Amino acid sequence: MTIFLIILNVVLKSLALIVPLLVAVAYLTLLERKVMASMQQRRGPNVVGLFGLLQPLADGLKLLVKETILPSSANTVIFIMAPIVTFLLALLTWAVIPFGDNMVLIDLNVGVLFVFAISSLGVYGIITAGWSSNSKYAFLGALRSAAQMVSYEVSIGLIIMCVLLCAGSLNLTEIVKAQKEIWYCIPLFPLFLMFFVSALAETNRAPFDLPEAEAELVSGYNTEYAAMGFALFFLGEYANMILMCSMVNIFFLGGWLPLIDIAPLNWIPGVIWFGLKTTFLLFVFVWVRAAFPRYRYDQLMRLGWKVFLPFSLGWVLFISGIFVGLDWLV
Amino acid sequence: MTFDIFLFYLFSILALLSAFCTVTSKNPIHSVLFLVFVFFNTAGLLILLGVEFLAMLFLIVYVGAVAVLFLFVMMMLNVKISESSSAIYRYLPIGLFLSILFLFEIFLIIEGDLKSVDNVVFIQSEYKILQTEFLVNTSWIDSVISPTNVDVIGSVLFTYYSYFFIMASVILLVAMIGAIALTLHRRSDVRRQDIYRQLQRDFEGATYLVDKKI
Repeated sequence: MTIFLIILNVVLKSLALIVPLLVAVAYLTLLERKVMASMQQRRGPNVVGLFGLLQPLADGLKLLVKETILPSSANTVIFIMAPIVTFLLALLTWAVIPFGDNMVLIDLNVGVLFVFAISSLGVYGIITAGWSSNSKYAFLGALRSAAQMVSYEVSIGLIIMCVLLCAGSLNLTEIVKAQKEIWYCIPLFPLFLMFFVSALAETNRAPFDLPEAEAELVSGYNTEYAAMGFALFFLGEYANMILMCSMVNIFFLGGWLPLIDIAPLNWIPGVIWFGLKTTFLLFVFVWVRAAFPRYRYDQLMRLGWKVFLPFSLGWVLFISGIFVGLDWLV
Repeated sequence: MTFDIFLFYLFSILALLSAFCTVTSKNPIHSVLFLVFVFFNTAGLLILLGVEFLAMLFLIVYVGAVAVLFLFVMMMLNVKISESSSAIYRYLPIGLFLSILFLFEIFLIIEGDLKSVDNVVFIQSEYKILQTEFLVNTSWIDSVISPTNVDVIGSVLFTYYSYFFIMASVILLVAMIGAIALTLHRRSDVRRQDIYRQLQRDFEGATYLVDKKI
């Protein structure tokens, strides 16, 4: 009986995390289309439901009832496995994200490393999808995508190291609490910008969306996928976007902490603050997509390896030097 | 406790099975994917041991970086699936010899080294003495001074084993310089992009009349 209760507890907790996440993903797609539409002076989806609010459900239903196609020359097992892995890894990281004070599924001591490890595994879904499709477009898209994600992970790791030096802990909750006095986006402003740009590149978003450059590669690594396989990639990608925005939020914008710790602002519960900041960052993601043209591939690699890597490495040395010199280490 | 043991057997069986598949599978891509699965299960075993920091590092370094590059190269090279079964038997004696040697070495290490490590981890042992001698019945000290994984590793690695640490970093540096030296050869006939020169160009400088007699 007790083991049944334990299992029920785990399942309910996970569902309470996953279902809102999926709803958030659905409405993120609507937000993207609406915001892009207003930036380009269009209306965006407005037919299904009030103001087009039911559009994501209609899209989901369409993908669900479409026929699943397995290419005859594909490597079937890996072909089916790839979208599942992508989706699973995108959900897995959410277990350690703190939404508010004590509002976290698993309070890991090595939370930052966990997030970093799982997000670095995300490459596997993409690269195996591209290879197992046995199609040139998909393969080239996967190679580009994997190379891009691996390169920007390096600078992301170094930037995270700077934040860790300031906070003195690998626990995400502790990192947010360390920003009680000041959000890290103020003393570490250049790192904040770099982390945001790296997050754009890591999630394969515009202006770094070369893996799915429509004009060259049809749709990148998911060219051969139809119906639910495609939907799983889509969900995974957007869940990763929200995740990266929450990470930017936690590392630099003080997570659930209010703007200023004074009376009317700290009445608002922390979860609302967390949501507001993350939504703002997601809005910036969409804004960037509407505003900037796509990078060329060599420029992308140059930015990652020759600009971000030396700069973030320099910041690690700089911050640790200051901390050792002034004896500020926590 | 029983659940831990169940997980231990699950991870080790899966690790062994996928290690076997890594060696035997015909397709090299499948081999790499099985290898990734071995790393995963090993990380699970490390978490069961309570060294979650090492487990995460294991995932980041081996699965997230090394195996990805490995897979990348495998896919780019387009290695053929062939490699007949007779070749496996040709490699069998030397492979068997090496694995037996390795197993023997592991037993030697387990006999000799683990005990000394136990003595060196001074924080852990002091903490245990505190717990057993003075505060047998209270567990509140657990929440006051429980050194995390990272603390313990850091305090041992940067004091007792600092020579090893420096040596390892020098070896890594040598490997890095070697890799750069191997791949860096400047050819003069390659046209390169120079961002600063491209940005400096303006209309006046870019168009000019050429005084040329026809």
